[in-house]
Amino acid sequence: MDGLGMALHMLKLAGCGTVYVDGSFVTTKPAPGDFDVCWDVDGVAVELIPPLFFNFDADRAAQKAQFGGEFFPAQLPEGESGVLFLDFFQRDRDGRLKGIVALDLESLP
Amino acid sequence: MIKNERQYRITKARAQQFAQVISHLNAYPEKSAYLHPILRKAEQNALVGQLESLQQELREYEALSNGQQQSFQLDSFEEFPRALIKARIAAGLSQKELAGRLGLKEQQIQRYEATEYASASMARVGAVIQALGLTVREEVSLADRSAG
Repeated sequence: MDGLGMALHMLKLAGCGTVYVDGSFVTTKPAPGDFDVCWDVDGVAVELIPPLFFNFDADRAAQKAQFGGEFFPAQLPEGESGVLFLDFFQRDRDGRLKGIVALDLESLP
Repeated sequence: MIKNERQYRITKARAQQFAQVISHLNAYPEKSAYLHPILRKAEQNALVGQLESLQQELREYEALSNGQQQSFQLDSFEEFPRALIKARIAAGLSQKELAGRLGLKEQQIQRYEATEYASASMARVGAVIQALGLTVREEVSLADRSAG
C-alpha cells in the first residue's frame, strides 16, 4: 500500500480533505489487486496537485504504474460526478454492494 | 472483465449513467462554474475515461459472445485462466451450462472465474478444458541463461 500512502500524502498537501477508497482490501478477493480512489476537489489548491492525478489516458495506466491504483476527482459527495463515482465504486460488477472506506486526510500523519 | 449476461446488462446500464452525467454537465456548465477550470476539465476527463473503460469491456464481451474469436494467443501462463473464461464465452456457454457439464453448481464456476481459477486444481482445470472442447498448445521454455 506504499503507492496509496504516497498518493494520499500528495493529495493532503494540496488541501484535499476527504477521499473514498475502494479495492481489494474492502472486498473478499484472495489476492490484493489495485484500488480506486475518489478524491474530493473541494478546497484543493490545483497548482499543488501533481499532473499525474489529471492523467486518465489508457485506463489510468500512468497512475497504476506509479501508485498501484486509479484516482478520480469529484465533487464529493453531492456533485453529480461525486454521486456517480461513489455509487459506482460501492458496487461490484454484479451490482452487489461491496463497501468503500472514507478517509479523512486530516487524520493522516 | 464482463463474464456473463447479467454483468453485461449491469455494465451497460452503468455506461449509460456515465454518458448521461457527462452530457448533463456539458449542457449545464454553470453547475461546475465555481470549480477551477483545471478541476472542471479533470472531472470531465475522469468521467469520459471511465466511460471509455466500460465501453471497452462491453465491446470485448460482445466480440466474444458473437463468436468472433475462435482462438486465443497467450504470452504467459498468467494469462491462461482468463483465456479459459473467454473461451467459455466464445463457445457460447453460460457459467451454468459449463457447471452442468462438469456436474458442479453454477456458483462453483462463478467462484472459479471470479478468482481466475486460483483455487482450482490442475485436474479441475483439465476437466474444464475438456468440457469446453478446447485444444491447448503450450510451449515451455527456460529463462535465457546466456544473458549477463
